[in-house]
Parts: sequence; C-alpha cells; structure tokens
Amino acid sequence: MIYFDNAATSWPKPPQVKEAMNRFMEEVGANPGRSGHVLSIEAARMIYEAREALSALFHVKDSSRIVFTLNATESINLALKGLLKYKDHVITSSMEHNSVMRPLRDLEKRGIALTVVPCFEDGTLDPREVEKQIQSTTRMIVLNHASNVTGTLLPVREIGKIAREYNLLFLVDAAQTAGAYPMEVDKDGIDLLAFSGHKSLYGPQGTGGLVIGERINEKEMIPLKQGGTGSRSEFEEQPDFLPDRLESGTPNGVGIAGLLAGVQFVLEKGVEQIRQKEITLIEKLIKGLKEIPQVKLYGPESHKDRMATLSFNFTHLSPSDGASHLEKEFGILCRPGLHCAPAAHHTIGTFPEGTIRFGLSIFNTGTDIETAIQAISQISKER
Amino acid sequence: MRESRPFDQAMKCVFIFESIHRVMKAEKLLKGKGIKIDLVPVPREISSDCGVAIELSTDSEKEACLLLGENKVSILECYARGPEGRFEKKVEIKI
Repeated sequence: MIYFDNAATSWPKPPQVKEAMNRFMEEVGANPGRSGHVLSIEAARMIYEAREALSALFHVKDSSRIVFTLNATESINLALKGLLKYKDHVITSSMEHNSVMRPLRDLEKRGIALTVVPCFEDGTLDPREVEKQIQSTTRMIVLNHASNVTGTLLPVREIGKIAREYNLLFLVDAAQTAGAYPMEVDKDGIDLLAFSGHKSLYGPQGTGGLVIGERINEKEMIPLKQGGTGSRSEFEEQPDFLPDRLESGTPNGVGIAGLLAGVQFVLEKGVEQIRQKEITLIEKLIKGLKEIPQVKLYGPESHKDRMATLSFNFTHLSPSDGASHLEKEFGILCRPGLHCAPAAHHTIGTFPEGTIRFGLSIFNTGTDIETAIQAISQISKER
Repeated sequence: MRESRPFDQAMKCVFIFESIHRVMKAEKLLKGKGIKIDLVPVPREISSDCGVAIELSTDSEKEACLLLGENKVSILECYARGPEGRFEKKVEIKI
C-alpha cells in the first residue's frame, strides 16, 4: 500500500510520536496546570516544552503566544471571529480552503466586507493585485501559505510586507506548510499563523494551534470559548493573558505529547532537509506524469512555487473513478474531488468534478513515485 | 550565634505567577542556573487559586528575581514564610 493522502493528514507518523503518547497515558495522564501534584506538574512541563519546540520552529520569541487548538480550522475561526468587527473589510485569495472561506462567508452575512482576489490558473497570486484592493476600512489579509489542492505556494513574505506597510493584520493558513517549509513569523510579516499538528508536524489528529503575533493585543481578542484555565480561579471572568485567555477547558494532553514528539522529529531532521527530500519526490512525479498524454497536471511546474502536493486528472476518467482504480488495482491511496476548496477548483478550472490529489510526505520513497507513475500510465492505457 | 539550618527548615519565600506557563518557564530558568526550588501548590492562605507556585530559600531570592527579570518572566506576588509558617506578602514585584 502506498499512502499519498498526506495533505489531509500524514501517515505513518514517526514511531516516537506513538511512544510519547503511550508514555503520557501510562506515566503522566494528569490535567496540566490544574493542581500542584507531581503528575499535573509533569503534564504542564510537557505542554510548556511543546510550545517551546513550536516557537523554535516558527521563530516565535514568546512561546506563551502560541495557543493550542483542535486543528487549523479552529485556529482560523479563532483568529477571524476573535478579531474582526462589524464593517471591517477583509481581503483573501481565490485559492482558499473552506476553513477560511466558510467562516468569512458567514461573517460577510454579519456585516463584514470581503474581497476575494483572483489567482492565476496555476494557483499563483500577484501581490500587487492584493495591494490594489486595500481600502480605508481594510483590517485584515487572510492567505493560504500553500494550496491544499495544487500545492501552490502563495507570496506570503511579499504580502506580509504590504500588510505591515498599510498596518493591516495578516493571517496565514499554514496547514499545508508548517513543518515542511521554512517560516519565520515576524520576518515574514505574519501576525497570526494557523497551523495543523497532524500534517507536516507529524502529530496526531486533534492537534493544531495559532501563533498570536506581538502586534496583536490579546486583551482585545475574543475567545471562541471561555471556561476553566487553572489560573485566577477566584474570578468568574476570563483571564486576559496568553495562553490562558484563548485556551479553556482540559487540553488534549495526549495529543500534544504526540505533537511535541512530531515537532522534535521535524526539528531534528531540519525543515530545509525535509523540503529538499519532498521536492526531489514531487519533481520526479511531475516529470514522470508529464510524459503521459492522457494526464493533465495542475499547479506550477517549478518546485520553487510549490509544495509536495499535486493535482491531476485523467482525460478519460472522472477523479473518483481514477482514484478508485489507483486504490483497487495498485493499492495507492489518494483523494479525489474538491478537497474542501471549491474556490481553488474554480480558479484552476476543475469545478465541480475536482481532481485527483497526491499529497506526499517525508516517508514516501522514490520507489513509491515510480510505482505511481507506472500505475497511472497503465490506467491511462486502459481505455 | 545563629544556628545553621537545613534547606527545608530555612527561611523560604513563595513566588506566585500569572499562569502555569510562566511557572514552567521560571522553573526551567531557575533550575538551569542551579537554584534550588520546589514546585508547590499555591498555599491556601495566599489564594484560593488551584495553581502552582515556586518555593525557594530566601538566600536565593535576589538572584532568582534578577534572573527572571532578565528573561521577562514577571512574578505576580512574592510571599515570605515567617518563622511560624505564616505567609506575609512582600513588596509587589513587577519586572
């Protein structure tokens, strides 16, 4: 079996992730920050170390400004609903996932103005098109770091500069890039970085987070939920400091233990090295598929503009039929359809049928790619 | 002449922090510098909070305060444990 659905969630995970989760369940297991006993303190230490490891990865100075969530979707919702106010104008791109589009379309009904800047057919975006849309009421730019459909990288650093120049908030959805592409929150001009823990950070599902940049006043940020934090228990009001303000209720301790092990794995390997390996794999895949006339590829050709996620279609098969052949005849697991990103499929011209998507990870091999190219070649000759 | 006392009977003080995150950061910094500390539940006399505090010998208090200050870990409150075990709030430290 070959697993090519890493853009949805990575699998397998490094063995140390499972070991860390097991160790947490067997030896720690307590509720962090809720008590002074030895196990509660051990759980709090682990969560602190997880924030520190993520700070090292994203170059965040103060790790208390990283809050844990269930996934990137929750992080994006927290950023948008916690900061946007009635009549604020927001700019986003036409390559966004529904994790951005759905909350924004909902906020639009509640009085927020939205501009969706069109991207090119390969998913790339001209930063000047974003700048042109800035108005006096513009408060935030929201951007996918890389498309979950085509793997296209969007010009985060250039748009970060524009956001700083116009004093706008800049929210980046790094679900597809965190751990697989180097990033420095402040240097890249990012105010809010939403990441998922279970993709290229190799943590378990149910982990993610939001980096709250130094330019954000956390006291003005409205939490998605309020409740127990273990701190200031004598008061019935939510604390105004981070991370407690935005983290209520018992955290996903076992999940964060796994995420910490995943982030340590990434830090040990090195993001640059991970990217180099993934680029080698995706270039090999693109080169092989370009030779097959019955296959149409989407997204940019140059590795500089992309992640190791690729969308393609057979000219004679629907995406779901193609994926079905790949699984049943060759044991290749991938994802057909719209990938929760209708806007992106409109942009690349594949709505409503969608595409077949291969999402690679560090655990894929050159042999996996060769097998896939042969399989696709064979399927393309079947009719 | 003053009797020398072992650590657990020495004059102690308790640092209270805003959040468990800061307690953990302070613990790592202080232990990293070899300052002997204990993590203790916030004493009931101080607060009804369910959090954790750092207890240390008053001999290390100044060094600890400086180290935490340099690293921007603000101590919310500092208490000294008097000879009868009662806690007395010291001048509020805001770094």
